[in-house]
Amino acid sequence: MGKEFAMGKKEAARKSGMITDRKIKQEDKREAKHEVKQEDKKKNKLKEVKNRHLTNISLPFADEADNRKAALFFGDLEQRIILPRAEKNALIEDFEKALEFYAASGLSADDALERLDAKNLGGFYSRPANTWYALDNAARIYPFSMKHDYMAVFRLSAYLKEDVVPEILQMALTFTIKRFPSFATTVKKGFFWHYLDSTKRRYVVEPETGMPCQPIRIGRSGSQSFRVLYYKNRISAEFFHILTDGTGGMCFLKTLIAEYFRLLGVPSSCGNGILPVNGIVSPGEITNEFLNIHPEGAASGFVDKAAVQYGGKLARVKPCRVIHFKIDAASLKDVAVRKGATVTAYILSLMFVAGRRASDAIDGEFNIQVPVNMRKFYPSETLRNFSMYCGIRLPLADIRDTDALIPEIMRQLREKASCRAMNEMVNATNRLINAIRFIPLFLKAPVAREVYGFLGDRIFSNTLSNLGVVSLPPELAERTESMDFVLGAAITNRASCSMLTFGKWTTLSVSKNTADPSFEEAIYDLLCRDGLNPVVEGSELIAD
Amino acid sequence: MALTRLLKGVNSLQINISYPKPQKRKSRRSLVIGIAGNGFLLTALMCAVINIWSGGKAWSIIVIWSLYMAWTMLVSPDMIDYNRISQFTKAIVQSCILLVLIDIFITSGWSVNVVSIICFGALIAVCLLLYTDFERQRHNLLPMILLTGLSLIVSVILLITERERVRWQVPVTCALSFAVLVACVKTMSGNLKNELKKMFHTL
Repeated sequence: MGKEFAMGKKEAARKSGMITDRKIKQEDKREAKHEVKQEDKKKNKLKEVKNRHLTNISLPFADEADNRKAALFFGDLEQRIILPRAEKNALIEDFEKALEFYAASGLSADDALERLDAKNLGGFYSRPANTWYALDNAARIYPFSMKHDYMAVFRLSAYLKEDVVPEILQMALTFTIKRFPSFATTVKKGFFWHYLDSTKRRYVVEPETGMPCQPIRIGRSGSQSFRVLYYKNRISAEFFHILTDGTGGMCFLKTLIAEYFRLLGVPSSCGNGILPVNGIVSPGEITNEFLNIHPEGAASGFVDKAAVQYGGKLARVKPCRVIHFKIDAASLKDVAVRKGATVTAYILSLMFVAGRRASDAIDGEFNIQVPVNMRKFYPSETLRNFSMYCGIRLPLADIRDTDALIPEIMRQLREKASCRAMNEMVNATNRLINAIRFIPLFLKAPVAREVYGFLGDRIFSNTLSNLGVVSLPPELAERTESMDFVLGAAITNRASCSMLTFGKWTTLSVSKNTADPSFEEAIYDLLCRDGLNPVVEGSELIAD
Repeated sequence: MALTRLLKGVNSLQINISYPKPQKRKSRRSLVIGIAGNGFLLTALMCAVINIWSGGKAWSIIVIWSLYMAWTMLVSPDMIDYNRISQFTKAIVQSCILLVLIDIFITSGWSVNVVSIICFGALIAVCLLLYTDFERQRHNLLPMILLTGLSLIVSVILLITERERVRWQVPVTCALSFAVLVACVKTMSGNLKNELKKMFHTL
């Protein structure tokens, strides 16, 4: 209309001789340019709108009023996320999928939108990543010990009574991650040490496809150093040990499960290892506690002589099999008490005898690594690594019957896992770190890698990490069947064992590095002999 | 009782599979590293022995350094900080060292100016790498700062000590290094202290 009016005006002016043809041509050109500009502007505007709604959100509710509320919800959501476009769209899509799930399960729009309230994101996605965390003293070795096929990874799993809803689990992780800022990080190289650099990204849950505890690819910009996996009714969190230890990892898993159930309409109380996801992060949770304890006395605990390894060819894929022995917790405790042992000492005695059957060596010593939680001696709320270890060592010649080993194992545990022994190890760690702190990483790394490659885990034959009794609030416990804890495979050790107790089950997990089944068969025989008859579950064996 | 159990087969270990069937791993890197490692070591050793035996210029050092470069860049690349800026700067620094070695052990007198040209080209390229994906790459500044710092220090030393030998390339590299360093500082602006502390922390 406007264009026609202008044309008419121009024609009239020409007729009246007010303007020349040349002038008209110039004006036409100008107008054409102006039109192109206007069109470009329109296109850009359209692009902007498209960018804002790239995910093409489909509103899942039948009622138009509900969909209007959902549209407002997404509008608010968009303003809270400053991630790159692809990530932002993926994150919004997660919300959309969760809403679709709620709509399909008949939940009202108000309830669904309340559960997914964008306030649960906090400011995590609206602020750029500027924080960083120095590695704790126990974590400093892990980047040096990494290989292309080996990484210190451990896994914590919870088995629910119903199959996992991936859409809700994704949302639970999205809401939980902000409460664990030291987990929302990428491992980076500094000039002297590695560090954890805060990373704002969409942290993803993945379906489980491979063997547990496979190396995590942490090299790329913004890579995450943990993974959350689901398979049927199992939720698993796998952590690169650089981030945390078993206690911190369990806190994360419990908080994730609590959030998952909240999103499914089962709110639970916080505390006892479950953090409020919208709470403020306490400085104590991210502190390197090794720097806060200054034990006096000697420093010792690193170097030891090589231990005998179990037999069997080392598998190329590590672990090549994972086996869980599910044992009735009360019966296990009874058996241990009857033998005058703690549960850890009793299981260690089984491991020594089973190891004897899994090795052709005649002399030498077995040495089983036992991680020790330092929070026992120095109460702390830290979610970073705060554990040391000791080695329980027995000559092969003395290993015959489990019962006969128990007094010696108990003695060594009392002595070597004591506060004094742990303090000595902390001293040794602190001194070593202080000694090499000013050596640039590019000089330190190859030397550390060679030393670790030479020593590696050869001073140990096996590991037993016992996380102890794990509890959940009753409303969550009644929806959770069991839990387990899996250690990633070691470098030369043919097996690594870990255990935890949840509800009526104690689960002893064995990660195998060899196809030779002697060790697990012997463990099974010994448990059956003591009347514990475990239920055995696990993965298939990956043959080379 | 035990005999009955044994006869019933209760004591044999039966594992209920509770994991998905593992997929065959695609990565064969560890296998390649295992095989190539021995090959690389043997080649390096042979070169050194032949070089010592035949005498003359120390060409084996160049071969050994080239093997090391191929090893760290291709066969066993970094597992941490594997990003475009770190890999590019690593390639540039290693190439410059190779050129300097050739200059020292084979034919001398040209590397100062050639390395300078490579450095200032690299500085421009690394800036492009940073600013074309700024949001992600701003977390990878350390290799860039180290490359810039190194070229600034080396070019200043050359300007002072080898004033007669150096040509236009060295002062240009010096000026460019300074400019890039300023750009890095500007990138970190508002957070400079924290960023430097992060990169150079000792505990």
